[in-house]
This record gives sequence, C-alpha cells and structure tokens, in this order.
Amino acid sequence: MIAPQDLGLPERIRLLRCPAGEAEDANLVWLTRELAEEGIDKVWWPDVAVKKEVKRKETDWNWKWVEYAGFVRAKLGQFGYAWAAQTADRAVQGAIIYRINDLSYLEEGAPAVYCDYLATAPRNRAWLATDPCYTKVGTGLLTLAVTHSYLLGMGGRLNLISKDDERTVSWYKKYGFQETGQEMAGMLVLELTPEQAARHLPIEP
Amino acid sequence: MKTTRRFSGDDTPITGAADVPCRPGNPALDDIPEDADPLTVHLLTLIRLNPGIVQFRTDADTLVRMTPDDKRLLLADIQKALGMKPVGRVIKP
Repeated sequence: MIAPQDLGLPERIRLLRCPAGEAEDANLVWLTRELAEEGIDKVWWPDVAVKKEVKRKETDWNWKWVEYAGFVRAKLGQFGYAWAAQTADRAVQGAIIYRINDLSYLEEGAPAVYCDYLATAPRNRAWLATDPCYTKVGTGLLTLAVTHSYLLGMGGRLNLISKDDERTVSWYKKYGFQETGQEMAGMLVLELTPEQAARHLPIEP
Repeated sequence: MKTTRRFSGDDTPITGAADVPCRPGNPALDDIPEDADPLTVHLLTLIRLNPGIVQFRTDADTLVRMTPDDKRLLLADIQKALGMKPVGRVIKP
C-alpha cells in the first residue's frame, strides 16, 4: 500500500472544525476497497438524517465507493490514484480518485491529471447537516491532485467534469478553473491551468 | 437563535458520476510497464512528460531495478532540474 509521502506528496490536509474554525489535520491514506466500504459506503449516508428527496438531489447519493476503489487498479491501472482524508477518530471525511495520464482540453498535447471522483462526507455539507463537522475537505483533496500534477511536471494542470449548475460551476471558477467549451454526458468539462494552479500549491517557504 | 459560521469553501462541489470518458490516455506514457510500482511510475511519468528538458537515456527496465532510495534521489534531482520547488507535508487552506 502506498502512502502519499512515498511519492513526495503532502501527507496531511488541514481541515477547519465547525463552527469555530479550529485547525485539525486529516491524514491522507490510500482508499482501499475495505476502507471505501467501511468508512464511506456504510456510514456516509446512513449517518446524515435527511429526507430521501433531499438526499437524491446530491450527485453522489448512490455512489458505490467500494466499486470505484476497485476500479482504480482494474481500469486505471498504474495511472490511477485513490486517496481518503481520515481524521484521528478514523472517520473518512472525504475521498478523491484521479488519473495522471490525461491530456488538456485547452492546450493540445499538454499533459493533465483528470479527477474522476471527489466528494466530502455528507456530514460536512452545510446544506445537509445541521452541524457540519469540517470544512476544507474537498478543497484539500483537490489541491492534493493539483500538487500531484505539479510534481509530475504538468504544472498543476487538472481537468474534471462538473455538474452544470451555478453553485458548482461558480465554486470551481473561484478555485481557478475555466470552462473548456466541452461537454460530456450533459456536464461541463472544466480545466485548471498551471497559472491558476500555482495559487494553490503547498510550496515550502 | 443558533447560527452556524460558514467558511469560504463550504460548498465544495461533488464531481464525478458521469460515465468515465473514453479518452485515450496520454500516449507519451504508453511504455510504462503495467506492473511497475507507484514510485517507478511516478519517476517514469516525470521523465516521459518532460522530454525536452530531461535528457535521460536509461531504459524503463533499468529504472524498475533501482532501489527505492535511488529512485527518490533521482526523482528529487529531476524535479530540481525542472525548477520545481519542494512541497510541504501539509496542505493548508
């Protein structure tokens, strides 16, 4: 099992505990099938008390992370990565799956990382949970993928598919993503260029 | 009335759910052995993606046989040569 530090990647992300905002680090660990099942599939949605119709508005309400964790090695092979952010209580606060062998949509031939899946635990979503636990989970995981892209000489270039709604797209644009003019399965393809990625890299002073 | 402080970034969107695109992978990485360990893949990817800068004539098989420590040293040397700055151990908001 690999650890992020084996590849020179950051080993933790700093979260902010709600509501006061105290900093608390989460370890970045490889998302095994077992962790996906026990730490995500069996607890994320059962743990958050929301009506079924509210839950079903969430893109990921029926995702099967155990399958995706298996898919990383089976389909993405040596280019796929799956990480989870795990707090000291062993709870998984978020997860990301990406591949490092994609290409840019904006600059022909430029290498890019492609983010397949990214989600923060429903209990951390302010619009679902009465008392969200942590913020900055998704941002931290996304920055991990951007950092991986940087360390491979791609400058932090990363693309992903976003739901075409205002809240989602505006969040990505605030992070620095731009629209590529491409659509896939009714969703927008967004890309983060190296210029924008530079703002997020955890470069040592 | 109870209030909840919100932070910028609370609304981190969820991405994924679309069918995995059938885009071919980056052809520059085609020769990376499927059974290579993650560190070797990392190293070879860095080399293959920067052919104009990294003049490295050792073949993939030789790299696979290097010790992990040697791979890490080589990796650090190449990243330095490419002008990359070291990243910290923690991603901070």
